[in-house]
Amino acid sequence: MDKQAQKNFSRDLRQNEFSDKQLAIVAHPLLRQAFAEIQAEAQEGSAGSSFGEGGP
Amino acid sequence: MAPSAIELKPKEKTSQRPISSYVLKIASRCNLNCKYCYVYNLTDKTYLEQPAVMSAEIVQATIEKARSHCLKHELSTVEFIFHGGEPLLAGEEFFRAFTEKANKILLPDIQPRFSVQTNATLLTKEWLVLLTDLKVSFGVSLDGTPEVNDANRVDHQGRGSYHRVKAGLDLIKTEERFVENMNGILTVINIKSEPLEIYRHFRSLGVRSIDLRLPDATHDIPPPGIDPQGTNTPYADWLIPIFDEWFADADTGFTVRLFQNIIGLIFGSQRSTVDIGARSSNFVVIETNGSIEPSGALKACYEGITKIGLNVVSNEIDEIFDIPVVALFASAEDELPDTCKQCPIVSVCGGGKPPHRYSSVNGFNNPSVYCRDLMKLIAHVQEKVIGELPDGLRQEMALATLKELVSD
Repeated sequence: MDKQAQKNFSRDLRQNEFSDKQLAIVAHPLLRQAFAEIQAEAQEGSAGSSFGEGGP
Repeated sequence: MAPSAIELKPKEKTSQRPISSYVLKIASRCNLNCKYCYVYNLTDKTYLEQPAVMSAEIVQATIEKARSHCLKHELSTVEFIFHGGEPLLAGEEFFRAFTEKANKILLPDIQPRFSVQTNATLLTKEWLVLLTDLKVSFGVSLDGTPEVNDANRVDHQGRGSYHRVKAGLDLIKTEERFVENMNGILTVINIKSEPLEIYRHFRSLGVRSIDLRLPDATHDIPPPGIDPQGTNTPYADWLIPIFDEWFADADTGFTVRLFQNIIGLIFGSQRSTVDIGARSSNFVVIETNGSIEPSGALKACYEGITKIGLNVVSNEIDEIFDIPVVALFASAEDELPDTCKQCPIVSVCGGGKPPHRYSSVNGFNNPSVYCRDLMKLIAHVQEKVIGELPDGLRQEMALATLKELVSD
């Protein structure tokens, strides 16, 4: 495995490879909020909307 | 028609998604005349052929076609976004009739959701009560301080709109249920403004959410301040101070949607706004006359690009997937140029908004005209974000900054 394969710019937390306990050690509120939203997204099985017409 | 329109060829799509959001151009005219508006003031003038307000026949057909599409693709919810022009010009009765008809046709199998994007200059208490009662949430368009907003967001007499919008925002604050019903403020970035002044101004208005949008542009009509052949990054340079202050504020009660979206995408979210994370889009536009169209932002490219010959009266929503230009939004991941596919940050930027990739020479086979800005901004956000992760977790996640990835 080369270095590029070992490191990534992003990581898909929807794969549930990380437990709540692991993520809970992150202190920043905006990151905790993001993790919670991604977990909710994974549970909903929703890919969310992606409109772009100035939609709310 | 531009040569690139002819060269667009249908391809096998791997990431096509059913349509769950409908942007409804219920009023084709606007009481404002914003200088940057893609509907009225870029290259496309097709709005002149549209009726002023969407008819009852088009409303009926839209809802019925949305229902059949939802049933075919097993979607249990659908979102209708009232848009324009200025959608409040359609009148209160239009909103009553539309929501009543949608609820009647769609429930209980499909749950409709409604929202409206307004310039807020026509908002009254009666409107706010009506929208709240009908469960139509709303977003407001405003570009910042009076001076900055009024540089572009003017009426047909050239008068600034800030104070009329502010009056609408003040009305919203008179009742908590109105505040709860508001989605936030949508702002088009003006790099001539002072970014932190804009951010702090929005915070002072008491709103809970803002979205910062890149101006509509192409390689042929570059955004203000960008030289496509140059190296400058004015939009990243404008956004980064705001990100830093917002991230330091760490206030989960105040959302900057662009930044929250970037953070989500770094950690695998599939939710994307249109400027970044252009994963397969799931919305179409229904024009005032019922024509089914891809994103109106494509109108920045060339005259008539969104006119694909479909209409809710005579066509099914599924037919859009056969139209090449729709694939730019419906299967955006498949349509990226090779340079984007090989880029380390494509999982976050998604290649940016398709119109931003357009040039009359190469069609959409270009990186975004905002590529340098997106790369600088996203790399900055990612570096800040992973800097907040404990070392062990960061290593487990195998995350590296752009600098580290490039140096490897």
